[in-house]
Amino acid sequence: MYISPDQFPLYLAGVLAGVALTIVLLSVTGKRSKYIAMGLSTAGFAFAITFIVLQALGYFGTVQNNPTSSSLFATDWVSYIFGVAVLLVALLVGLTAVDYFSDVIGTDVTTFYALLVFTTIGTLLLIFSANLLMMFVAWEMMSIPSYVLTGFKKKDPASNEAAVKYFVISAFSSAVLLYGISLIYLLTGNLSIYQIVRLMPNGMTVSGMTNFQPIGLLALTFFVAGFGIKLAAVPFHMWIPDAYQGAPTIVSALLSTATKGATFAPAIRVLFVMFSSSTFQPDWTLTFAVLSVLSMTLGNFAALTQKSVTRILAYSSIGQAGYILIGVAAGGQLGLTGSFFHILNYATMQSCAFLAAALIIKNVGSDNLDSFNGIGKRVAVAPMALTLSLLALGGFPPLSGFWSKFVLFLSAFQSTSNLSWLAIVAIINSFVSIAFYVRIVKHMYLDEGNSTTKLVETNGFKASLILASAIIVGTGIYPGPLIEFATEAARSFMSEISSTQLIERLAFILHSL
Amino acid sequence: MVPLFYYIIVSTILFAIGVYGLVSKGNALRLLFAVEIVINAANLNLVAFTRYAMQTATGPSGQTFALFSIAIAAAEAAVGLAIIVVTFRLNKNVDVFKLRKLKN
Repeated sequence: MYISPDQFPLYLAGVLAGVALTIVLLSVTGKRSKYIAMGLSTAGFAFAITFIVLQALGYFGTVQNNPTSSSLFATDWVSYIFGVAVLLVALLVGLTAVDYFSDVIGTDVTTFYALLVFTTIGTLLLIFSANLLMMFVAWEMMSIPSYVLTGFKKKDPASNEAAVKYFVISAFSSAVLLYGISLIYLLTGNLSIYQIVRLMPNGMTVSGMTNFQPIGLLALTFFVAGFGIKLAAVPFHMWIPDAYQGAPTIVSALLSTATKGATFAPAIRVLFVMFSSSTFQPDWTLTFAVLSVLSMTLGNFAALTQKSVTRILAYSSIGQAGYILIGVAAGGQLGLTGSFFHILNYATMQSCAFLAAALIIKNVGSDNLDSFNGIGKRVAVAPMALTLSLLALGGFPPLSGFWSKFVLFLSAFQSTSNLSWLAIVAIINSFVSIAFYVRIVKHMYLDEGNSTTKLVETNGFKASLILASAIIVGTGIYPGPLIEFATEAARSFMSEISSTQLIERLAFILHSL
Repeated sequence: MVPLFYYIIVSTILFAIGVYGLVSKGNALRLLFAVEIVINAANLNLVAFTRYAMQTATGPSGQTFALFSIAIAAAEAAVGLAIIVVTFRLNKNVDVFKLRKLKN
């Protein structure tokens, strides 16, 4: 079977849209439709992952499309790895939703699955988009269902408050993004990211314009603000703690990983393709270095004083955004590899942490740190998964987070623009972050709780948490393949060295330590 | 033909009004209006720029974009209003500064 890489994302979105519409129809029939919805969406996500893997292996003909074509989509390694990561998170969340909402009055879980699949379609199209129009439409396809998901517990004032705050800030981010796009259109008269970069040099399409640099910089600012709001980088982070704390915890898992990862792919395309033409090449190293330092420092230090577990995880999400931005600041193939690799690991680590916390919070009825006391004696899987994912987020050596942080810090040390100070700040921040990650573990295993009754762990949660933990440990023990994929993705933007050379270099550095 | 410069001035003023509304008001409905004003400023840009960039552009893609963004803004406003209605039912007001259920 041959599928043109220009149309591959459409097949993907088509299948998932079919699943979503079927679930919508289901929601008006039968009482037990929620299990059918769960099965359908799980099957849909699994099918989509298989579909992407087969396409990446060249099973449907051409693996990548020509980026300079006028296609709406860029089907390349960046799209593949981000697509699989996002679908995996959606799968993990989908497995837990029936159990999570089982005792919430006034919710229809079947609708939850429909919205989950719709927002996943949006994230996938956003990852694949190579055209500013497609990017904006996909951006909204991702955002609009996620507002509803955030406010899904409609009788719960906290959930509603989170939805209002998320909606206002996120709607503003898309408006700002739209304004930036309109300025780029003024300069080039084109909307395709890979063609704009060639039109930028003679970007005087509008009469009377003699100097386009200020408008280009203004557009870049709008793009950075629009993406920054979704990425949770610091000057744009105000909504994160409230939204993640108030939203249903499994939705926080989705927002903090799938949305962030899906925003990162087009952000990299815009920065490293659109804004890197020969005549207009702004130097953003310092800007992103400062954003990165602010995000890391604020995220990690604010998390130290929090009492609520979901709020700690929300600040951790801000801190991790800081690490991811190190790679963007350092640039080069190594920096991008580090960023891609870290965001893939981050997707499993953070979603596993939120999902494990969701199970515990649902059972003890509070997200206060003290109510986590002695949980280790009352359930088996959830505290174990939470511990693993928190240690991985903190960067403990045998787990996945260590490797990606290692590549990121290395890229800062080896950057041509002298970013050693950034790497040192990041290492100090890593040590600070261990304090609050380990504090949750201490509350779960060492502190005495009020109650010792066993809690119920349902199969959906168990399956989801064990799958996520297995990925975290597996990547930690054998990181080679993921690093290779990340290098391959970074090569779409700049090809300095091949993936085998990079791995040899990493192995050499590790050996000499 | 009205010079392009005038369109840019109007759109900049609209953008400024939107951002002002967003940072100064607390009423969720007003915030929604402010966001819509910013979106419309961008739409005005897109439509005006298409008219002036027609010589080199590969078709009226800017005006197409404006149509898409008008439709999407409507969808976004519908969802936003639904959320605000729920807020009103739960709290009897829609002031985001008075929403303090989650601790800061």
